[in-house]
Amino acid sequence: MFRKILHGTLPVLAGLCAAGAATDASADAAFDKIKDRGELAVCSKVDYKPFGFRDTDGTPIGLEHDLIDDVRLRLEEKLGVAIKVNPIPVIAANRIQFLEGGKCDLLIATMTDKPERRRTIDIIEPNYYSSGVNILALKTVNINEWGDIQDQKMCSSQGAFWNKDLQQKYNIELLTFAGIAETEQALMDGRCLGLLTDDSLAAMRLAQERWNKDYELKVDTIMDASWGAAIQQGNPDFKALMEETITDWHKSGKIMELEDKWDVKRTPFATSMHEKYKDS
Amino acid sequence: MNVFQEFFYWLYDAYGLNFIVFYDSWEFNRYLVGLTNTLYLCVICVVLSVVVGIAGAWLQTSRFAPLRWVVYCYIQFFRNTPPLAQMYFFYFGLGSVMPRITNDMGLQEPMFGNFEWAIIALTLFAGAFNVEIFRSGIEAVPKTTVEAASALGYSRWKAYVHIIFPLALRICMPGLTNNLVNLLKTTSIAYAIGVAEVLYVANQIWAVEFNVPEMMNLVLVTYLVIVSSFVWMMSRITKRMRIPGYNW
Repeated sequence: MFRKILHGTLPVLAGLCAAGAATDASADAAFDKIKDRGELAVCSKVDYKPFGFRDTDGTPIGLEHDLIDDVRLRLEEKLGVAIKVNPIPVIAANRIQFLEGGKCDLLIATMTDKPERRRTIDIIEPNYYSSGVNILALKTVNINEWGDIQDQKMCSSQGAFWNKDLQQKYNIELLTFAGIAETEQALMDGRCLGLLTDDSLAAMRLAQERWNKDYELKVDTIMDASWGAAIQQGNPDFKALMEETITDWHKSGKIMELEDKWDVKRTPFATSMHEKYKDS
Repeated sequence: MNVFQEFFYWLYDAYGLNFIVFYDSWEFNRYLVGLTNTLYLCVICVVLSVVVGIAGAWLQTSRFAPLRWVVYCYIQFFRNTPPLAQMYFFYFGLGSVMPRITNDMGLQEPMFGNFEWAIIALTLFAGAFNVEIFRSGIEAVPKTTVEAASALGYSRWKAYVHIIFPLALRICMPGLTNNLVNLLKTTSIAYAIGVAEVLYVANQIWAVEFNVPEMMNLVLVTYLVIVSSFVWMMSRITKRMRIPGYNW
């Protein structure tokens, strides 16, 4: 009798164990790491006002840091532990390597969504923001269309996605630097004819007097591309949470709210995404 | 595509090893420009820093004290600050307040571009060490030899040119080689001020292609080849300069 029961229950037990093991295996490494440490390491910008910059006391703030805080709240709810954000300052040239190498769990750092980037990291659908490239230069400089920069020397940021395309198209000589401040200094020093820059960042600069007195955007924004948040590959649960989060941002109009909060001109992208998701 | 390029394309296709500079001629030319700039920086800075070293060591033997103090201050400043900080200081600090000239873009640009500043910074940096190296060589020349020269009627300058310096140079060759090797490697920090040398170009390529490990390897091999050829050349020179029977 006993043996019979044992025989009957063993496979069930084994099945349960297997099921348990299966859930464990599918649980996602990023979630475990965040939960264990009570910390969300985020690759983010601190030199990209107003998206990510430092407050007077050194704390990183900005539109993207507000978004990161929203992710933190959602993670706390999901994982049931207190979580604090550990911001890892990155620049365009090192952010993907940092995420790949596990230095951070999440990347929200003004990164453009590109197919070749998706080969090494998971970029979350939908994208959360969008911007394109424009030329910031002295008002006296004669640039009226993109063709006018043919064979000229231009400043840019190291790792910016437009560098190679524009270099190939217009045969420009590029003077690039690791930080945003250096590119600005080089432009102001007259080291280059103009600065290839993100239009959203340029708009913010031009709101300040030291810029709008002598500088302006010269051409129509091109290569409009959307920004993606990213996580390491192979974390299905975290990915699902992020997808839901960003969809929510568009649905609730949070992005537009933050644009207003940080004095950024409302982008057509944020408005159209809100239209698209608000009734879903 | 030639056979060479096809091989590297196949390597990428089959094993995911993306040595793009070897199958994409646009990137290849870009890397070649970087290599040329690195070599250019190396040659100019090596020559100039040796000149600075010799001149500085000569000035240090001067009987006019303030001249010695100037050389002393120069050495202390450049030996005790990091070369990257010097580079930034020169280009953004000093560079921005230099007299401005109208460049060919019609803009008011401070004198000296990034390439010139890189040469100045690297030359002064390595030059400071070279002064000390040459001085050590000069001091190692036996006093009796110097006295013998003056007994034969050599003037101070002639004795320096014909007796002291040739001997000192042979004594300090190992130290000089060391420092110049260091200089060759330090040229890579010029990328911080946007000089399109090897590391800068590699960075531009991997920022688009995401082939950091491959490019990093290529950069290291490039420097390995440059530096080892230089070391080989220096050892040839050392051998050629050897005076039979005069060894330390």
